[in-house]
Amino acid sequence: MDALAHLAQGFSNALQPAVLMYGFLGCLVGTLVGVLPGIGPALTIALLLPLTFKVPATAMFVLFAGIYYGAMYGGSTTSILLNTPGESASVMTALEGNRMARRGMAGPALATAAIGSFIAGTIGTIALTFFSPLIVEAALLFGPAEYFSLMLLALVAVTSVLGNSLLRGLVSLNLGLLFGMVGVDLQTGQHRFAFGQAELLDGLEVTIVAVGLFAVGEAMFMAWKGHAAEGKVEKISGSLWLDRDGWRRSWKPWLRGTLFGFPIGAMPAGGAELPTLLSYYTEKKLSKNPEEFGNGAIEGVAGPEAANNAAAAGVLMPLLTLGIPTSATAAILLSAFTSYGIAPGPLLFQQQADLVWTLIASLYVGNVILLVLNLPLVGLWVQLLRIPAPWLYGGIILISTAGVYGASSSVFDVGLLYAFGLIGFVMRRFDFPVAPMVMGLILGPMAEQSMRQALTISAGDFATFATRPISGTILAIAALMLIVPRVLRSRNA
Amino acid sequence: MTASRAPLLAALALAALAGLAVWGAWSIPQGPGFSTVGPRDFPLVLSGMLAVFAIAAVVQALRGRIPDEAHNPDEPPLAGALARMSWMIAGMLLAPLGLHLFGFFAGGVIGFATVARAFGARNWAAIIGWAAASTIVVWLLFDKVLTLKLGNELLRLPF
Repeated sequence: MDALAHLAQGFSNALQPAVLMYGFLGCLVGTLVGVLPGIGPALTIALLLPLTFKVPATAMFVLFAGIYYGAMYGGSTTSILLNTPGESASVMTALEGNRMARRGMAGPALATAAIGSFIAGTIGTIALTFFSPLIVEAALLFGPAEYFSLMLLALVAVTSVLGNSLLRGLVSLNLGLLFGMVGVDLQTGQHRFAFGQAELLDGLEVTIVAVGLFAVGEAMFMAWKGHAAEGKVEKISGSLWLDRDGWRRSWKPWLRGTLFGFPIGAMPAGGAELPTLLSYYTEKKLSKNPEEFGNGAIEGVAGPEAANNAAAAGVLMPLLTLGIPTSATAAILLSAFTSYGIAPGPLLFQQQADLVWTLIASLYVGNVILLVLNLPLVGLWVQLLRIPAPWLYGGIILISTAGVYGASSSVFDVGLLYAFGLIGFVMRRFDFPVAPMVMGLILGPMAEQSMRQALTISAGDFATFATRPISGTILAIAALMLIVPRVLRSRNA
Repeated sequence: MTASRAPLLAALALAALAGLAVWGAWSIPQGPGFSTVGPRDFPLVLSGMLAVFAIAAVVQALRGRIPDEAHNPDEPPLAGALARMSWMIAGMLLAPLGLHLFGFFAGGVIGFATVARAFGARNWAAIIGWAAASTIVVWLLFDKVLTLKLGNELLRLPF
């Protein structure tokens, strides 16, 4: 029970007043950005990246963990009361939850979402605690070849699962990978894609690209559509707690949602979208009153919300144990680790045991804080939804600009931020997924380094990726992931 | 813009970008030849792939297979999209200029105000008031509390 001893140490760190304060702040900010439509955890963490110079690593990651979990809680509030899912994983919540709110059941909908999120988040974190050490043991056997294959798998998964078109996913990924190549090549010092601009030699900052694509791009898209001022915020009606019937109908969907969420979130293919869909359709199938679905069935909120939060815990597993991000937010967390000079992966658990276990402990603490924070303060969150769109989006652009300019004092970077905003707008308009681009930007250079290291070890033999058993298997899975869904789809068509 | 032209323009822009990437990759010196994969190989392969995808995207666009939110049947953009976008673009050109010439306050107010206008605010007094107040709050928060560097003085002269 090595994990328990480490976890106890983690708790004693996480409960230090200063660290706890960062956790609390993170939960607060996370809920805030989760509630506000148009901004999410990936963008918020990206904006805070420049602060990594000033705050100690442990405190910073506790803050990030709070933001990450908090945004999941906050997102459900917006989905239920405004019918604007902040992210694809909340689409199902918006579907059923908003119907409940319109029927005067907003209170129970919010309650089942919050309690379900707490239960799923806690179970997910327990799973993370006990499975991670096992994965770390396996991962210690990995060499550069295995890492390259794993990164390829993660990239293929994100591209193939997200979005409606493989081609547009690949375009997004490919652009991201190319953006990742900009700057000085680490091995040889050659300039790549700098086009004579000194500012580009350090490469494209993750902050600039992510904030540009997510915040500026979204703002442009919303301005262009012109619907931002139309959203109708439902009143909080009904008791903000579950009655006996609510509990009876919710607890099984919570557990089933958790069972879908964590494993799928933890897979390199993962993400939170698929488990919420699976959970929703499972509950619909199992329900005695399937006709309620679509008109505000509480199971349709309970299950997907649990799945969503369990997946959020699951996503942290490959990130911490392998250093492989499987979502845009995880990719940005990865670059936060890198800016502290810490490489996530199996060695993290040995070299930075304190950091990892404090982070994991603070996930438990964060879940409790969020449960306490979410329901009683829901009135306050609703007020946030009433901020008029011009001030809200003006503020988002202002904060994005300040974050980027404050990090480098470079007007060039601000221009770059807006340029990526324009790219983000075009991608939204023509339905290109944005997440693969961010993943490509961060994983591209890592994948290239692993590949070159693996080839140095194998004396230039490319077969090394296929003939090493683990690496070969991973590559085969990646290939299947690209092919199988297409074959199935064309058969059904 | 008609139904078929906007996606085609986007695909053509992508193709142009791919061309730029291939050219950029081609001009990376390969360096000393001691390793199998040099600094040029990854960029070259990736930009080659992008070129292929871009051509495929052009073909898809010609066949009308790239969707355009402008023709979303459920929720098309409201009338006046061009005017709203013009405000956004104007802000994104003028804010960096203001930032460069007069410091953070000018850039921040221009950015906030143009976006607020694009989102339908009409009352310029309210817009400027909110923009100025928000910019000062953000400046205090980022520069003074978080100690990022937004410039020590809110406003400065260009000379």
